[in-house]
Amino acid sequence: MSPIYDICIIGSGAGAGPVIYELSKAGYRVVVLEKGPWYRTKDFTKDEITAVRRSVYTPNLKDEPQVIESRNEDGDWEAESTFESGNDFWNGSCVGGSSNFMSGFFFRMKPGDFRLRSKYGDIPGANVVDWPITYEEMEPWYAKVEEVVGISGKVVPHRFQEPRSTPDFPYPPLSVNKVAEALDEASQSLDYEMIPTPRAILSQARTRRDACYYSNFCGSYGCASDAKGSARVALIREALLTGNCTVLPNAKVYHLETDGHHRVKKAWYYDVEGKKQSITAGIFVVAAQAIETSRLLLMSKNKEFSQGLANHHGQVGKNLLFSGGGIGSGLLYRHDFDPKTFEAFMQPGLFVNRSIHQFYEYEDEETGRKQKGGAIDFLFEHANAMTRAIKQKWGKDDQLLYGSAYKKRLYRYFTEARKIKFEVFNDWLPTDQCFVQLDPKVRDKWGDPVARARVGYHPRDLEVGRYLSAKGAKVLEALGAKNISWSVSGAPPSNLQAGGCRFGKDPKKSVLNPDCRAHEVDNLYVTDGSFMPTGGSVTYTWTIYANAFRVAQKIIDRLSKSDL
Amino acid sequence: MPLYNDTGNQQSTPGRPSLGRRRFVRQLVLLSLGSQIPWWTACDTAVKTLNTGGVLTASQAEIADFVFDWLLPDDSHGPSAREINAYPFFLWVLQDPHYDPEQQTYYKQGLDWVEETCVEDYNGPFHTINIRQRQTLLDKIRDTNWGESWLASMLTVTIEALLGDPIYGCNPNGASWEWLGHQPGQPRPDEHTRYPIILNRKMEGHPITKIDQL
Repeated sequence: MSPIYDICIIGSGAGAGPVIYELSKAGYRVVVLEKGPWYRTKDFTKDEITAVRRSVYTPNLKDEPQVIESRNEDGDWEAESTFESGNDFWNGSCVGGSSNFMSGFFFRMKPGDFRLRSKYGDIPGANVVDWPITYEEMEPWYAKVEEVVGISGKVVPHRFQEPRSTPDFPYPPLSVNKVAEALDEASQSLDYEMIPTPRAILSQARTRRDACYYSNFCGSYGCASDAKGSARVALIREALLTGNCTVLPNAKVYHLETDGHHRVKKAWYYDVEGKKQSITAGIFVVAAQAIETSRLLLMSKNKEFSQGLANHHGQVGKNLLFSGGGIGSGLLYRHDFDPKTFEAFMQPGLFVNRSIHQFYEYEDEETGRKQKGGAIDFLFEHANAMTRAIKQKWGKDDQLLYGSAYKKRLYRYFTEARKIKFEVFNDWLPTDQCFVQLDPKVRDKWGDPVARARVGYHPRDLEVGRYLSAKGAKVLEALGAKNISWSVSGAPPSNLQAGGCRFGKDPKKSVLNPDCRAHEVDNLYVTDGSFMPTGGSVTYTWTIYANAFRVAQKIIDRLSKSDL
Repeated sequence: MPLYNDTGNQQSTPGRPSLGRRRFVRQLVLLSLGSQIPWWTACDTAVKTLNTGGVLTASQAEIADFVFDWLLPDDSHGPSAREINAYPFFLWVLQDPHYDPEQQTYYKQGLDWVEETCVEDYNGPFHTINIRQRQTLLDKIRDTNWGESWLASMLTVTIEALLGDPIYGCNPNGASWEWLGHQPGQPRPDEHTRYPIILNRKMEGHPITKIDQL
């Protein structure tokens, strides 16, 4: 019997959206299985209770925990359920995935990121490899994301500007706060190259999407104007217009069944009532975000794949990546600036959108060798009022403040200063101490083993993070900020996940081939960030989108040749 | 643990206890098992009449009401706990079936611990001591490990009431936002999009094939 669907896609975020979009537009019958619900644009508000203080857009950790294994004070690995710790690694469980809630800071990886080992050499303790494709092969897909998803910004020449096939972004830059100009001046005084930050946010309206209205609440919040380039709005909605796409929300896939001939034939899932259902298709694409993608493959054991799907060589789940780096901040006080300037700084809504890529590569002071650095981006503290107020409740010596003293402090914090921040991004080097496996004990609400992620880091990640953070702090100092502080740690940022199913040419050392098709399973593709063998020193989403467009074309080419 | 691109999110919320928080709370609960809640906690006929929401005893309600006043007093500088409806907001939190039940228990357990400490120090229940004694008692409790931790969590609830959307019955007319010069984001929640109504969306599992379902 012929399959009902040509392609079944598991997940609906940035790694899935381009495949859904391209295959639907090409006339193929597409079905999407999304574990979360369908939130419409009209459902999204800027309510802090909903978006931040309660688990609305992510699963209840009691129902769906994960287990995180990190080093304790004695240096031993210690595992703890996220339900116990409260350290949530979910990032948006709904149609469109976490792309609904991203801030949309978009950067391309640079040519050197695709050949990290060739360019900078081996690093002891790190599994650094070159990508099996080049930047030049990815470039047209980066350009496609700019057009289809919609990226605003301005290209300015700088030392590490990536080669481009188009002169500039399709949408002009978003409006910025006066602090952007002040940051430009501050960086000039230090001889640093400050550049505009591209955003996956429309500065101008286009068909079915309004322009950004500067709500002041972007990251963690769904977009109410559809300006943000979520997979839901930019891609899935367009796919639905073709009539070829069906999305099944609340469909939690738990097993991929193979046919005994190295092909997946069915995806098994729990429906909204918890009943087991299955979907048959010709091609299967997994894009459930890095940790959960590895988990699904590991859960899909059978006689044919006793160690998990596509895992004969034990590579599934290995070399999990986050993003190395750090965070710093300083306060812009009213009394340090003229009234007009300070009032301009306090104006809500407008973006900062400034970054430094000058230290994407730097000379190591001890060895004199060039080594990989990273990016620094500048932004205001999030406008979340409760979150800001909660941070003010601890006084000197970490003693709880309350009563009139707390109220005075709160008032001063909100009215007499504004916090400017920087975030550092550098490679989270792949190591043997960062991987996903199935937890032997903890189960989710359906009774399935949950993902257990060991989150070890490489010491180099912290060295680079410190180098870059010190640069960021200098900029804040030149800006006139006070109370400047920064921190770099090996704690993984849970919203920047990649790796676990790295692509490569050698089936013994990688899960996927250069087309992101599983070496061992003829009709299985992985298109979320799992494919990345190294992560670069920028946020991942643009690269995930671009690669998914690239793979979508590979799938269409294959289908059109009736290879399947 | 950092979250990049300023998601503005916290890794821990009252719905999601912070790192080691749940473990800490359990230790406190175990420690308290040896003590007995005094009989008047259950009877408490002399306390003032407060809506207990069916989730608090009368004495727990009285203590909670006072604690919020103590945390955010009426001092002519910004809204007070009473003006922002902190206590009714607290009842709403305790009644929320989607909230972490262990955290809800912790809030209530702390109220009982205050009562116990009061009995130890003043030989009587909380409702029998005067305002100055109550303040002294809470000052003392704040200097204990359990007290500071519990009061910090009560302050977090207070802050939610202070800066939450008025649709939740707190922060009437956005007075706290005005006080702090804070502009809330638009659109604000309405009866269809407010928490926990929005959670009903999670139960919709029908296939989506048309754009008008977006």
